[in-house]
Amino acid sequence: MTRRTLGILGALTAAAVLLAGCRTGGDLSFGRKNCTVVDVATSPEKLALLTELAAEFNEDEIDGKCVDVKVTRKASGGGAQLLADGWPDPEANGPQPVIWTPAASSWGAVVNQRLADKGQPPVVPSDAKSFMLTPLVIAMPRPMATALGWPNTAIGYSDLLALANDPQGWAAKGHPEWGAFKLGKTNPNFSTSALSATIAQYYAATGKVRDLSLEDVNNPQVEAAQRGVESAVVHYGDTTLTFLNNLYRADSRGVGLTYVSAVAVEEKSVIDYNTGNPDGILDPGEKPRPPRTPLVAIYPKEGTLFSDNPLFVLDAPWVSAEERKAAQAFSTFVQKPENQRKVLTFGFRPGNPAVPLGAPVNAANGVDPAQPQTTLGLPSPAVLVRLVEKWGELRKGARVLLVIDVSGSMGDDAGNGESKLDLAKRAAIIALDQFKADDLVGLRVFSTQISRQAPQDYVDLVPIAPISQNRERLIRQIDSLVPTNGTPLYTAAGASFDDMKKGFDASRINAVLLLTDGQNEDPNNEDLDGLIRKLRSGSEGAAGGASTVRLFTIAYGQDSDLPVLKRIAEASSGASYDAKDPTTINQVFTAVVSNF
Amino acid sequence: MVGGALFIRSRLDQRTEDKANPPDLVCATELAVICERIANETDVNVTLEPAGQTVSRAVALNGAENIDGWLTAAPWPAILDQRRQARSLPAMFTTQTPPVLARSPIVMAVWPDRAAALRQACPLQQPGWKCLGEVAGKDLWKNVPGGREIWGPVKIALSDPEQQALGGIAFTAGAIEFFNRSDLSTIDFEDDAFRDWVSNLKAATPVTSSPDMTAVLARGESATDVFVGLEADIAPAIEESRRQPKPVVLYPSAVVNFDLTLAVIPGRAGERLQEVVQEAVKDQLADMGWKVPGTPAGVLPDPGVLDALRQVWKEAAG
Repeated sequence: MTRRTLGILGALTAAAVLLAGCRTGGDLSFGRKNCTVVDVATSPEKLALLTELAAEFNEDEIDGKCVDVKVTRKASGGGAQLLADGWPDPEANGPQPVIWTPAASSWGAVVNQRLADKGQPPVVPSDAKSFMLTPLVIAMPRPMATALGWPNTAIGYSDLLALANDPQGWAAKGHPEWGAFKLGKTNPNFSTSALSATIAQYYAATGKVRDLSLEDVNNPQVEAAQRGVESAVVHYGDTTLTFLNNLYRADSRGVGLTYVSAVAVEEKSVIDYNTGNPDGILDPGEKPRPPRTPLVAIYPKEGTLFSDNPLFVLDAPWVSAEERKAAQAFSTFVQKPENQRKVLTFGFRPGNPAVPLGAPVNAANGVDPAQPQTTLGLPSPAVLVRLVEKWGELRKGARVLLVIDVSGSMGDDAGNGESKLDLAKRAAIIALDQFKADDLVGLRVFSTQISRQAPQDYVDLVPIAPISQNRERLIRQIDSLVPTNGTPLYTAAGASFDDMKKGFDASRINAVLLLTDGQNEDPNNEDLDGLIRKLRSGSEGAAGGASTVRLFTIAYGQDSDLPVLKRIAEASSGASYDAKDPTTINQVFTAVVSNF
Repeated sequence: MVGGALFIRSRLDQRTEDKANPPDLVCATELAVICERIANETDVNVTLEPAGQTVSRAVALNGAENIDGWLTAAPWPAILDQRRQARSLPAMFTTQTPPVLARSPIVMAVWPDRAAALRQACPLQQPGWKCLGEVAGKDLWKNVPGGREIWGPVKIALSDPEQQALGGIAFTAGAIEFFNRSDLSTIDFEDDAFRDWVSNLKAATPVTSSPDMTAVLARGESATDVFVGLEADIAPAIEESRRQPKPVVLYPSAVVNFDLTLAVIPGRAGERLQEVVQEAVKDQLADMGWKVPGTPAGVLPDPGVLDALRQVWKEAAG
């Protein structure tokens, strides 16, 4: 632990007293002047709760001055990278935070290690309290868990590792109808559950439960085991909610067991799923409907890790003494028992043990409050950083067709003086860096009558090939794109799906990344339902599931048709991304490519 | 030596006259709550740092930059002064045995099922330090009589004896229990069985800067089997917890106190620090569960022995 000066922290107790006595009433978070602003960057799962608590907190004053705690969403991995880079470009990346609350403390260690590697001092303190907790679990459809011996037999990562490497797949457990073992796991550069799951995989491969070392991470046998597990991955991504949403829809059609066998998620997500709320967000009036096949939370026998949701008041150069004091008062406020009780309603375990555990953390929702019984040791920061780098080398390869809309409207102003196409081109070129050298990537553009020869509505500018060979060509071609005619969305989506199916490579994630700014404008093909049927039948069940090509769609600009793009993506068990604000396209492109 | 001490006094006298330059208090990390109160209620500049870090940076100081007083556990100022004297530097503080402001025994919080396993594993002794080291040597609970496989490895939360005030004293208590006497000398620490015991203990102790009882309670049995800390911190936290089961508090056969002391640099700044600190914390300490001044418990060996034990811990394989 490093030295900390308390003189400037000052008055936690005094602040609490002042807070109690200075209620001014009403929602004052808008239109107030000269308040102390405390920007909070939070991981998505607690955005709603912290926003609610901030509104209450903002009703009071500290030292006679109003405080505006402003909560914005920032995925843990993205926030970690921004902090390691000094949080550049607040306009694009959001305000520089006074409080950073990732899903787990391990991200703080990653930030400080990355800074140390650059010879810079740490910005993340080591002693933040947990706001709320949730253990990482392996969520499995109940019949699959039962086939592995649950609940009488303890199950762990080692069992999944063995199953993932078994060429018989589920047939080895008496269920050939379930096909190969399929793992749902996100990208550890972005997702806390993926970071924790990757740590757990390494422990399982070494047989250790603590003190994972750099030697372990670089051990060729351990590498081979990691490749085996990663080969079972369906696709990656920035959030586990994609898997749970897709599973929920597949379950409602009775084909959930062929979509995914196990997903590394937080316990809270199992509760949400089993209560019929797979994405954890209920729209107004939406009635949750429990799934046909519930998930059960497996607490790995080797141990697990907690997402402990610390509120880090940053030791960053942009944090003033006044902001720090207000931030500390907010951190104290959220620990009050009455606020901690709200944590439970979101399916988390309160960080303050003065609040008892209770519903919904119970067996009725597939989870066990008496678990876990043991945890894995958090590796040292240097090992953590290396482990994430190593994942980038060992992860499942990708075979991706970039399909970009070059219709006339892409030439419209994005709102900042540049055209939408200009912004998209730049984002696409930057995103190419996320692919690893042996990933296969190609480029297709589409617009009505873009070609005189058939097919007339799309053109392949760069055939699919290892990106190590065609990166420069991809960049040149993307850079030279110009807007042309209308938007043959359904034709382009259907044809891209078919073409990728033809060259399906079972050892890779096969996917189409489709970006469009408009609605289907093709009088020759207006059959959305036909497209959906084709995508669904080609993606589900024993036949379709064996050669699944997933569509990841980006709804780009205000005129884009997000609901339709969502249907298209979900029909192939992919995901749709919202870039209605064109200036967000960099982040959105990064999030989409994190699936591969 | 005398010249150096005079230099410190002279500088401090000047500073005390300067209201814009308030005294500087260094606090051991374990005392964060107390020191936040001092920072809030006085004009004292408070710096929080591990005791081992204070020793490292103050051992060679010719002046007393940023230190007018040190709020920590009793033997640590003496450790610092002994080290300074070994370098032919003057002692920093007015006396090697500053008055005890309050004290709290160092105890162990153990989950009931793990406590039962400790009793089964060490039937001939009161579960305490010696037993803990022996159980830690089994690595996994499945190797311990009464232990269960699902408990995983034996996990002890003990703040770093080399760096933390509490950890240093707690580990000394462990050594006293291991040898069954308190008149320890550095020769004792060459004993192979003792070195093995230390290595076992260290291997079961994850590296965390300052374990927190609240965090242990929030995570349940999974993260920590045995938590070593102050009775003043542990007992109220367990009392307030609404989780079940609750850990039980074990008093090892070698119970020692964390004697809270304020060591000050000679001069008016030091005197003023003593006044304001005592005024700020005198009521709070009793409310927080500290014994004021409390009965001495156990006898710690010479500060030099405690310092040597810090080195033993650092060298242990773990």
